[in-house]
Amino acid sequence: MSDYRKLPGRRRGFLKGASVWLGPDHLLSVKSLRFREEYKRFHLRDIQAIVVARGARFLFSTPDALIVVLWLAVYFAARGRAPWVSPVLWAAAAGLAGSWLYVSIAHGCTCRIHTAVSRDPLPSIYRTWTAHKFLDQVEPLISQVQGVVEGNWVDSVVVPSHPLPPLLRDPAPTPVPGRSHTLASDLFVASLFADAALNLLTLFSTTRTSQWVWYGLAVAEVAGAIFIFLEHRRGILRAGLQKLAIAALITLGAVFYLKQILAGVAMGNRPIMPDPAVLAALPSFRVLREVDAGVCLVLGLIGAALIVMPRQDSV
Amino acid sequence: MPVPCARCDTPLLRQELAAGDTAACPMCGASNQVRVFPALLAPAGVPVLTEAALDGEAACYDHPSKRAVAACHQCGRFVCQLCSVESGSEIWCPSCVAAGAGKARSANLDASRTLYDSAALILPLITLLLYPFTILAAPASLVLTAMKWNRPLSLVRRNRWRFVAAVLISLTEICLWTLGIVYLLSGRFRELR
Repeated sequence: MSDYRKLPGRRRGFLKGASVWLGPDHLLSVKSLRFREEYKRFHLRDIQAIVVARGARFLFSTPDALIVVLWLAVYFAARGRAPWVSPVLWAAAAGLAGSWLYVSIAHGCTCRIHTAVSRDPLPSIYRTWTAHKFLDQVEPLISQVQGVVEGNWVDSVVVPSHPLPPLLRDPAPTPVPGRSHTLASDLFVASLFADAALNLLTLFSTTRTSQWVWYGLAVAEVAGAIFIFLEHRRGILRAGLQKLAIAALITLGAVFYLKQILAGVAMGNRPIMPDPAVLAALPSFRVLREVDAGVCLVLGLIGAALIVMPRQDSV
Repeated sequence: MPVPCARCDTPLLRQELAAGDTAACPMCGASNQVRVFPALLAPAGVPVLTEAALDGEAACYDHPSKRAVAACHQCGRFVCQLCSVESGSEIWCPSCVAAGAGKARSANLDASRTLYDSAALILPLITLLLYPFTILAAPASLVLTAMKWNRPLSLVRRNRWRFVAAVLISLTEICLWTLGIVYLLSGRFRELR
């Protein structure tokens, strides 16, 4: 049985996660990165302040991704069954996207915990309602250990009464090491654009040649992604393009798998290579290629933005 | 010590903090909800008091001139105020902390852990995207589970269901591969006859 009790707030990203737990005499901030967890303890007696700042936070979590997958599944299943289905589904998608935008803009926040020697963010608390719940649970516990601040505490600490001139503030954050692009990353992004273009141009007339070109592009994408991983590991390339490569590989795998399923359904049990023209005529296959082209285009645009962006890591 | 904005780290202004619970940042304009505790008001940099040991008094193992305040929970050595390291409700000496004290290494000192159970589970699942790779990933997951079963898990979740699920999924994949290979081979044999 764990000695820790979960506190409100959890961040579930594709690669990173975060949560805060309550121990016997401390808070435990857990940051997970794939298959590794990093811990930081904040003893209740050492916590000086907790500050929550409101502000937009656009975080796409795994539950959000699950909703998108569910929507896609419903779209694939219901498309073409009735004329009203498609508009209703697109309206639902617009509603979901609008809700996500509203919540991200109006209810986003950043939370930091202060001790005498550190000012650490709590990534798991990024919505205002979670911050309220967290403070409601943690504040009485800290007060039990430390007591409460009485009177006008502002006079007891050094607090500026006017904004500090720029030179007196903390220096600008050091730039993230690594280059914004390399030959491998340029080719990788170019192959994403080429993949999107190929899918869109051959949407209605697929031939064996175009299929082999698609295979070639897939090999180029996989090779580019491997080079990006290696270059990032050696500190040559920044983290953003590595994440893009992971997303592209997942997309590539999913599309490959779905194409195999659709081809299998179309050709039955015949052990022959399916005719591309027959496959192209399938409505579901066409939708899959539309989605593939759209995703490749978006990933290509993100890659292009990462390449031209100045030395700041934002993804 | 000033209280900075949680978004941009700019120190919040006195008049904003004095006005109430929320303070607007002078730089980014974000509304900051500030909760302050008495530790903020404690004088910073209080030195650790280590008293000199008098004749006949127990002294620190590493600092013979300093008075011992506790005994290490692991090795029993006496430690002064400076050397005493709190680990939960126990006091440890610096040597035991550094050495991890063998099996007595405390979970409270871990700064990170590798989640072998998650790795074992994700391996057979993620390779389903490119299913031919499951022929390698499923046995690899079984080996990983066998090798790391007794390793400490996450500090905050202590059950091994991920390992169990990894074993079940891997075994299913291996069974399916075996059945597929047997089916293909038996078909070939029928053709040859």
